[in-house]
Amino acid sequence: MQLPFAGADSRDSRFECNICLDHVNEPVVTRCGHLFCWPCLYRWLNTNHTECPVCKAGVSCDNVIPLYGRGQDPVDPRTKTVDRSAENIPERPTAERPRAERPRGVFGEGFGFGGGGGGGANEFAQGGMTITAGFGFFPSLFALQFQRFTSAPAGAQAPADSEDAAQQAMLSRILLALGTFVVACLLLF
Amino acid sequence: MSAVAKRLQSELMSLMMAGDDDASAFPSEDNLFEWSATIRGSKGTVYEDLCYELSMSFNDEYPYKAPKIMFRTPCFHPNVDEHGNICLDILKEKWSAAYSVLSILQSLRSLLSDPNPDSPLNQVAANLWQDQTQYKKELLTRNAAAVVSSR
Repeated sequence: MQLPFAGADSRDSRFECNICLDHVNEPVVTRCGHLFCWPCLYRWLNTNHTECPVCKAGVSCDNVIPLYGRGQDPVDPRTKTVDRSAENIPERPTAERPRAERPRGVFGEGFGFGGGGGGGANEFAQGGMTITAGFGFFPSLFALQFQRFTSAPAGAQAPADSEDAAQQAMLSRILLALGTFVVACLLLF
Repeated sequence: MSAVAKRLQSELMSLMMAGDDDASAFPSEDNLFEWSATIRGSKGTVYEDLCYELSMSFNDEYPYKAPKIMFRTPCFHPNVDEHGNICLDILKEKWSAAYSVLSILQSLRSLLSDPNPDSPLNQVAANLWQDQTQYKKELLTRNAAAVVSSR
């Protein structure tokens, strides 16, 4: 029996697979947060197991998340512990790609600059913000209204701004009432 | 080196680093897949300071399948039979690939002081367990006999 190789204690076990206890190869993480090599976890799930080896939470091949680190896997493919072709291990499941949320603040600010006309334009931007908040439920309807309205003050003079702001406020109230009505309709019928 | 050998090597490494006096294990000189282990009964239990030697035998399916573990020292316990076979769920249907030599040995130590009365392999021990004073007496008598007979 040979002694284990020197320097082993310096290894960082935080990123080791919970099954082979080696550095993860094709890392996947379960919904319960446990890290495995994809070939290791696949083999476990294919020997009549449906639970996480660490915490017994439910796991299936479809609900694991692949981890994509920077760059290529530094492991020499020849030293890979599991031969993919021999074991019939499929590719890792792909990651989900949720849509990015539209940042609200940027929209209002950008508009303020576009107006180009001092305090009035800023107020107007504030108005735009209010509408965004009130009509988050109806993005398409709101976008339509908003687009039409923004074109007007872009070229307008400073005195017209206060009038525009009043108009904007009234429009926002009308849209709010309309929105409430639609919500009420959805709830009642 | 095979994946199993690699994993056993890394377990050996962590066992040696842990340096636990109450649970130790080491592979045999010529075979990495055959280990012998020693566990010591926990303080404050009837097994306090009693040491037991076990054999652990791993196969190619480790860690997807549990290793085969037997008591080498005769062990008077409700869940251990006279041949050293152990009845412990985590070594059978509750096995997990994330368990290790160390976690098995820790489970065995807690099994010693906390037997499972529902599936006794040693009915005499199971019946006697209720009376801890009597149990301890019987245990020490049998242990002494075992030590004498092994000499």
